[in-house]
Amino acid sequence: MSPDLAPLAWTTLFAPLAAAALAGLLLRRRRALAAGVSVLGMVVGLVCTLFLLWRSLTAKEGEPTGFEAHFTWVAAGSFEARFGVLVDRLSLLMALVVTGVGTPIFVYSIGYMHGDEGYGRYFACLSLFAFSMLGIVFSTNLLQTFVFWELVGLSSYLLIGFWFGRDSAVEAGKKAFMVNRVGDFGFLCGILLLYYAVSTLPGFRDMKIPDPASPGGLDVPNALDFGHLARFYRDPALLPLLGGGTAALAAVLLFCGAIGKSAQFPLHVWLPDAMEGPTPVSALMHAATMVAAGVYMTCRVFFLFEPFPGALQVVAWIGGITAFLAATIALVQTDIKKVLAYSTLSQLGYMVMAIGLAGATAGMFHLTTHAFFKALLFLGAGSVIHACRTQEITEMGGLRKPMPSTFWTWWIGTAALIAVPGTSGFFSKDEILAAAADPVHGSGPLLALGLVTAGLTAYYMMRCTALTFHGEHRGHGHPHESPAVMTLPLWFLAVPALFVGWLGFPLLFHGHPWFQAEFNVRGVEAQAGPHEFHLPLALLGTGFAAAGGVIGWLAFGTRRIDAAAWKERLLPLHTLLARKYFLDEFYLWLVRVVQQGVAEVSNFVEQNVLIRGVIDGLSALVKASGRSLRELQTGSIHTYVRFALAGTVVVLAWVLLASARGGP
Amino acid sequence: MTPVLAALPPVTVQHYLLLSALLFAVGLVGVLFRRNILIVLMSLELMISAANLALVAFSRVHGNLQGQVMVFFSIAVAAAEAAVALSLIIALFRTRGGVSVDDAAELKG
Amino acid sequence: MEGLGFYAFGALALVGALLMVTSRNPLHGVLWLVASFLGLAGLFGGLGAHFLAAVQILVYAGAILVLFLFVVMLLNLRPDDLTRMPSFSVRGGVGGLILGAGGFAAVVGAVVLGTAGFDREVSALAPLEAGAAELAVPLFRDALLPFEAVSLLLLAAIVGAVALTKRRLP
Repeated sequence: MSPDLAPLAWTTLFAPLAAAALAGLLLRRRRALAAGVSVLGMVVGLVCTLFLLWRSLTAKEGEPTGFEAHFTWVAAGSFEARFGVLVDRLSLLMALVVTGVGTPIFVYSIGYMHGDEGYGRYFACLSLFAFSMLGIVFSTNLLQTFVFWELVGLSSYLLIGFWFGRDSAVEAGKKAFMVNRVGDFGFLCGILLLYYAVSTLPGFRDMKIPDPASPGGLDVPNALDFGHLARFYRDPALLPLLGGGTAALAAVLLFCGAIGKSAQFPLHVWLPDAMEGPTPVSALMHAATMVAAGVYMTCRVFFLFEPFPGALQVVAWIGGITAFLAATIALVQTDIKKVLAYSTLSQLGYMVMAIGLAGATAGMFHLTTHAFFKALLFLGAGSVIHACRTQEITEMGGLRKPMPSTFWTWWIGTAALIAVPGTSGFFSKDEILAAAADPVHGSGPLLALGLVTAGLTAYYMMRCTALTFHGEHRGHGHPHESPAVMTLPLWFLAVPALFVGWLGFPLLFHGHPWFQAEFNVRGVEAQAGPHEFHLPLALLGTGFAAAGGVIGWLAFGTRRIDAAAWKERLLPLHTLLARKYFLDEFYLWLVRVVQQGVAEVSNFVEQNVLIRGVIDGLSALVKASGRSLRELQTGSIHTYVRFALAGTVVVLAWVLLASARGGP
Repeated sequence: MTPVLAALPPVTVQHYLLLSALLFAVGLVGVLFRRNILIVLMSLELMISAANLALVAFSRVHGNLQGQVMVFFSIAVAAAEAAVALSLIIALFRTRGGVSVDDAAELKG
Repeated sequence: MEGLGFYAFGALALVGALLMVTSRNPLHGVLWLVASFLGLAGLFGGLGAHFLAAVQILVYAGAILVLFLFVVMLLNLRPDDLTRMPSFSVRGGVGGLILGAGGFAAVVGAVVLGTAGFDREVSALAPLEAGAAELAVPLFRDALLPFEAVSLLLLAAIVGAVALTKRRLP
C-alpha cells in the first residue's frame, strides 16, 4: 500500500465530477447517454475503491495500510491550505459505502426517473453529489472537508428542490440549506478556533513529521491537517499545552457541523422535509451517505474528543435524544417516506450516541449496515410509490402478490432495521448497546433510551409494513411490480443488508483488526482488545424489539388491538407527535419574531445613528464649514484689509514677545 | 505766550515719533472704515507720510541722510502709485457708476 | 522756539488728518489733506530737512493731491450721491470697531514702548543741514541704481494710467 496507488484514489474522486460535467453540459438532451455516463462514473469509483481496499487488507505485517497524497492549494506566508487524498481503512470503508450504495441507486434511477423532464439534470446533480461526498471522504484536512461539506449541501439543495415547480419542494430545499448553514457556522468557528489555538503553540510548530512525498524529509506542521493534529493530540507532552477549555469548545463546535449535516436534534427539522426530492435521492443522500457525513467526520477527528469527557457527553446525549425523539414521531406518520425519514433520524442518533460513548467503531459499523438496509428500504418505498401513485400508507395495502420482489426485499430491510438476530443491523445495534453498557464509558440512561428506542423502531416498522403490504388494497389502481432496472438494485442491496454484519461478528472475537490503528480512532480501551459478545445484552435488545414488533403487528397486521381506539384515548399525545413536538412552529417563531426583531433594531440603528448621524452629520459639518469659510471671500476691501491688519498685529506681537523673552 | 511755552515739556525725538504714530493710526482708521474709495486712498497716503516723518526724525538722530534718501524714494513711489490707483478708480467709475467700495465688492468681472 | 514750531505744525498736521478722515465730501477731504501736508512740511523743516520740506509741498501736496483733486472733479459726484450712501462701513459691527480701536492702540503703544530710549531733546542733537546740495551726494552716489529704477517705475505708472483710462474711439 504505497502512494503509487494515489491515482486510483484521485480517479475515484474525479470520475463522478467528470460524469457530472458531461451530463450537465453536453448530454442534457441525450438522456440515456447522460445516465450511462453517470453510472459509469460510479462504477469506476467502486472498482478503484474495491481494489484499494483489497490492497489495504492484504498488507503484510509492518506495511502501512494507508497513504496520503496532497498538493498545496493556497500558500500565503505561514498559512498553507492543502488538497489531497487520505487513503486509510476508514476512508476506504466510507468510500465503499458511497460507491457501493450509490451504484445500485444510480441504476435504479434510470427506471424511476424515466420520462421526467429534468432527466439529464438529475444525473448531473447526482454525480456532482457523488463527487462532493467523496471529497469529504478522502479529505486530508479540515479546510478541504469544509469546502466539500458546502458542496454537498449545494447538491442536496439542488436535488431536494429538483421538481422546482412545486412550492413545497422549493421551500424544503431552502429549509435544508438554511438549517445546515447554522450547523456549518458552528463548524467553521470550530475550525478557526482550533487552527488559531493550535498553530500558535510553539510545541506544535516544532513537531517533527515525516513528509509523505519525500521519504526521509520533514513536513511543515499544518494545524488543519488530520494527521498532524492527531499526532499533536496523541502526544502526552504536547496536548496539555493547549487549554482544555479551548480544545473542548473547538471539538463541540466542530460537532455542530455534524449536528447540522447529520440532522441531530435540534437541527433535525430539515430531513423530513427533504423527502420532497425524488426517492432515489432520499435513498442516497438522506439515508445512506450525506447524512452519514457528520458521523464520518466526527470519527475522523475523534482524537479531538477523546481527552474531553465533557465533549463526549454532549455528543452522546444529543445522539440519544435524537434517536428517541425521532422514533416517537415516526410512530404516527402516514407518509411512507416520512416514516423512513424519521427512522433515519433515529438511527443517525444511534450512531452519534455511539461515538459519544467512545465507541467510534460501533458508530461506523452501524453507519455501514444502515446505509445498505436503509437505502434498500427507500428504494423499495420508491417502487411502491411508483406502483400505487401515492405516498400515503393509508391508501396502500395488499401488495404482497403483485410486487413480490419489492415485498421480500422490503422485509429483508425491515428485519435488518429492527435488528432481527443474524441480520447486519442486529450486530451493529448490539455494538452500540454494548458501548452504552460499558462500565467505564457507558451511560445507564442512554442504554435505557437505546433499548426503548429499539422497541419503538420495531413498532413503527411493523405498522408501516402491515399497512403498506398486507391486507386488502385500499387504493384505486392496480399496482404491479416495477421493471427489472428497479428491482435488480433492490436484490443487489439486500445481500449486504443481510450479511455485512457478519464481517463484524468475527471481529468481535479478533479485536477489530480492520478498524484499529489507521482509523486514527483509538476507541475505548476495552474495544482495543478482543471483544466479548454480550449474550445477555443481545437478548435484552432483542426482547425490546420483539415486544415492540409484536404490539405493532397485533395492532396493524392482525387488527387484534384497536389502533383507532388507542389513538382516541391518547389524542393529545398523538397530536404532539404528529406535529413533531411543534418544533417547526417554534423555529418559525424564532425567525419571525426574534431574528426579525434584531434585524429591525439593527436597521433602526443603522438608519438613524450611522446614516443620519454620522454620514449626514459629516456632510452637514462640511457644508457648514464651507459656508462660514466662504465669508472670507467677500470681495470687500475692508474685510481683506482688516484680516491683513489682524495678521500683521499677530506677527508683530509674536516678534515683540520673542524679543522680549529672548532679548538682551 | 512765554509762560505757555515754558510750561510745555521740551520737545524730544519721542514727540515726533508719537506724532507719526498718531497720524499713522488716523490713516489706518480711514482705510478700515471709510466706504468712499477716494477717502480710502487718501488715508493710505497719510499713512505713508506718517512713516516719512518718522524716517526724517531718525535721520536727524543718527546724523546721516540715509533716512531722507528713503523718504525721497517713498514720495516718488507714492506718486506713481497714486497715478495708477486713480486711473483704476476712473475705470471703476465708468463701469460701475459709483465710487463706493461696495461697488467693487463683487469678485466677478 | 523749537517747541512752538513743533506744536503748531504738528497740530496742523493732526487736525487736517482727522478732518480728512471724517469728511463726507471727498473734495473737502482733499483740501484738508493738503493742509495736513503743509503742516508736515513744516515739521520736516523743523528737523532740518529743508529739501524734503520743499519736495513735500511741491510733489506731494502740489502734484499728487492736485491729481486727486482733478479726479474728484472728473467724477463729478452729485451731492445726493454723497448723501445717499452711508460713508462709513462698519462691516462686522462691533468686531470692526474693536479691531480699529485695537489697531490704533497697538500702533501707538508699540511706538511709545519702542521709543523709550529716544528721549533726547531735539535741540540737543547735532545740527544736520540737509539742503539740496547735501542730499545730492548720497542720492546720486550711493543710491544711483534705485534712482534710475524709480524713473522706470514712473514710466510704467504713466503707461499704466494711460492704458487704464483710454477710451475706445468710436
